Amino acid sequence: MDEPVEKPQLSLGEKLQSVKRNALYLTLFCVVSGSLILSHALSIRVPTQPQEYTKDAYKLLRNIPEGQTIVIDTGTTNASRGECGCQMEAVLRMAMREKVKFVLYTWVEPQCVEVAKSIIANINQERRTSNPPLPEYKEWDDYVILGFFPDGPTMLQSVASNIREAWGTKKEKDPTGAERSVFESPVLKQIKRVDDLKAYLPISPTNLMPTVVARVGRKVPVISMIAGVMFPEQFNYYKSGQLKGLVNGLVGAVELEALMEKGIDSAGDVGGNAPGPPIAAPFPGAKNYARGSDYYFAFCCAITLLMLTVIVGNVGMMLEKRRNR
Amino acid sequence: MIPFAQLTPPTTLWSAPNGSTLLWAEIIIAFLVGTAIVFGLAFIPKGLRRPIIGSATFLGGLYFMLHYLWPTAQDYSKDEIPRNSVETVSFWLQSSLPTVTNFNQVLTGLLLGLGIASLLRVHIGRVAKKHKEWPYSLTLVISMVVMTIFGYWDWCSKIGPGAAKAAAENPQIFPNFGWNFLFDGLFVNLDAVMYSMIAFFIFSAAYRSFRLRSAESAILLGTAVLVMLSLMGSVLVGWDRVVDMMGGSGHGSVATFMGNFRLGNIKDWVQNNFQSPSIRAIEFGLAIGILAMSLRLWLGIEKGINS
Amino acid sequence: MQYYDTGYLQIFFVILLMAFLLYNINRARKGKSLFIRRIPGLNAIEEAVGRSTEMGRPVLMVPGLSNLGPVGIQAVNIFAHITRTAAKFGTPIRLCLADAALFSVAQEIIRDVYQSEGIPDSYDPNSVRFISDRQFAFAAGVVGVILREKVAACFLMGDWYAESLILAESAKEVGAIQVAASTVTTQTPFLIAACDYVLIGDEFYAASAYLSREPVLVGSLVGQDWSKLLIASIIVVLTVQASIEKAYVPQTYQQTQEGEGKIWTTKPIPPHLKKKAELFERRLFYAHDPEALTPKREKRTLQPWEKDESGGDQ
Repeated sequence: MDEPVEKPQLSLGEKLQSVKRNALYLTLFCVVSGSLILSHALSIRVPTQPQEYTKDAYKLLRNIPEGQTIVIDTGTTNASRGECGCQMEAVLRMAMREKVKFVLYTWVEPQCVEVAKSIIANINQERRTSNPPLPEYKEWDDYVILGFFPDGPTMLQSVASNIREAWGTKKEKDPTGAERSVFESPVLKQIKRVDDLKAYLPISPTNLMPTVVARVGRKVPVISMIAGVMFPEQFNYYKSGQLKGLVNGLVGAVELEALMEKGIDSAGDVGGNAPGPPIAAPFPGAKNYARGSDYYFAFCCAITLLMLTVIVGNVGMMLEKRRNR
Repeated sequence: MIPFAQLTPPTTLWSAPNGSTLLWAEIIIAFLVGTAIVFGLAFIPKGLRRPIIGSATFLGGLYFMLHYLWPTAQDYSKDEIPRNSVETVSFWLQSSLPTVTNFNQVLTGLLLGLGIASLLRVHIGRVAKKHKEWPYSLTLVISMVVMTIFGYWDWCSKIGPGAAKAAAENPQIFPNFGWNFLFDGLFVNLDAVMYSMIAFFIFSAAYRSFRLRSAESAILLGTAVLVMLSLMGSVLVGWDRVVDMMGGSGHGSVATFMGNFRLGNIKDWVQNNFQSPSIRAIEFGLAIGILAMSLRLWLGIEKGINS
Repeated sequence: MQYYDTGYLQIFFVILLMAFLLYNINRARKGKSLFIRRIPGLNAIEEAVGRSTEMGRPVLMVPGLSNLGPVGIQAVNIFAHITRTAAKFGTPIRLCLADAALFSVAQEIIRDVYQSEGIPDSYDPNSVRFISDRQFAFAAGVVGVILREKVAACFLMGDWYAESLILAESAKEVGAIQVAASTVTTQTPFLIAACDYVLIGDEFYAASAYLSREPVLVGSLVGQDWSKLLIASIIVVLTVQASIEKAYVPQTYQQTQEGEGKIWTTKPIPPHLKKKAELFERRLFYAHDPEALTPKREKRTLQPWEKDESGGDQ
């Protein structure tokens, strides 16, 4: 009978370099879940310092006059609700408080429209139950949903050329239930050309923005709201002035919420008290800190854990190198 | 003289009224010509096939190239008469774009049928031949059929003819429930699950690959750690406070010098001086690559590796 | 609006780049020998396919979420080369696609490869599969293929987004050798962390020229390099020029849009050091056509069917 082969004892360095994948995953799961629960239970607010690109986005959005129309080009699915979902919530809250009308559509996935509808429904519910109650945002009067376009780039080119012909076939039900052209609704009635729109917001974890900027970027201010991973590429467009603002993933959503809470004073400081009218006023007394701020603590814990794991691996490597010398 | 100039006042190819005899005639003629072309292509001599396909590709690409190259008429409005032949062509191009957009959208939707046919062929074949993984194929086919049935049933109950009235009198609970369960309950959440897996994979990939094996990897790791720290608001605020304390208050030279070591400034410096220029350079290369590839495809001079 | 916003420069620039490409294609066709540097990722193709053959496991090729466009066609071209190598060794292949149009093109190309190798019977129609056009359904399907079939070599080339790391890590789990290329720059770091060889940036577009040495493709590649050199030179020259202009050349006039039709007009102002928008390089790339923004044209009566359905005026 063969004698059982003894497995060689691993040194500390080797052990640190070969932590099992399952153990890593379990650790990450526990840390993120635990921090999420704690953050929600204890209302932990991690401080944040809004960046220039987020401030520019907030300034533009905050100063859109009442009754004007913006476009939200959504690519947000349930998968990206952690980043783009939080951004969309912040933007829709702002739009509804400022009584800005919006057009919503997608050319990414049909699911995106359903996700947007549920976010609108949640915010309407919030407005109904607030103190004092605020009026709900109604489809047709305050916003229209154009649905899914299978070929987005060509549609955008058509929009840049003649918006009324590009969207002319789209119909929605008015308050009486009759189907009418979207250009008869109060949202789009005054829109003759694409220049009449006050902002174009692609909110997506995918790379919608270069297509948008190439086609309508010179006519409408574009603010890109993206997942964090797309930020390095899109930052170049912000630096060159093609984007008027940029919101970077979950961190950007948290910064937007902080700006909604504190505003930008006349000197350009966040939450400052400089004399004179603020560049972008806050929304005092309203619910500004929302899902983004809830998720931010868990995000910070995950990043910390990632760095610690990398350090552990490198310490193991160095111990092993020293042992082998 | 450009032929299109004679079309003003413009009742062009694209402006036939909805439901009119002219539009129906245009549709029927286009359908017959298209069908003839599709069947005719099979009988064309081999030597002529490449030039015909090349010509069709060229004409299709030429339309979009013209949109880019031809001066766009400013403030175009369809109740205006173009001032000259350049504007006449521009008016024609702009008035045609919504129709071409609709063509593209229909085509994109129809192409999905090709993919569905392939899926069904592969997976029904596997089930019929009792391939070793036929349960997975059966699951896929059943899921597809069930989702399609509930999707259309729910849509018809909400949006089909007379649906609003019917829904108010006799709400269709079962298709609505089925659709909500399958789409909102299953599909949407499974999508989110797949996306969430990326976090775990990044974790294991980072643990495995981020090692200090060389000077370059040390620089990479150090930069990555600094950028990750700057994403955490509490660290950013805390670090900047420590730096400000070290530099002292006021606007003296020490405070100004120490300000360079604020985490936000370091991150901005890395972003503006390293990350952005590098990505710009790669993007220039990619864009020129796309231009080259598109040009070869458009002009029909693209050579596959096997040609 | 392209001439109004950028003048004729942008159009001229694009046509110049096209001219570089066509000129070098012509040069290469005339038999001129042109140099291409070594690309390690592409040299690894034979090694990867050989490994698959030894292990008796299939080769997986995935063009990401590419649709029928330059990226998708380029990916399928490279996969055709890999398939030719695999066909010679009798190694099975799996080509998983997320676009129906690209799927039909890929089927034809792969079938042609087997026919040109003289082994049309070896072509398995089920080896080229349309998985799904939904991103994560596609990722789930391909991960299933990787884990069940235990692929030995994995080629991930094309438009990659979030699903890149899912596939790369799954392939790593089964021990596959991986060669990847992404046209989306932000996914490149993930692929570098998980894959053995990565083609960065436009090495992906150079692949077809590198593998085939076809004159048209090599000439096009050299044309691309000329274009990049031109862009780099313009950046350097304009940076120096803008630095000197900003420091030493005062601005003495102002351009505004005035009057009927909002035509650009120029009027003198007291001299001051130039702002960013007043520099020559800014005005070069953001030129304004003196043509009116809202020119006067004669009106005609709209036919009843031409009237806007919304009832609003145009």
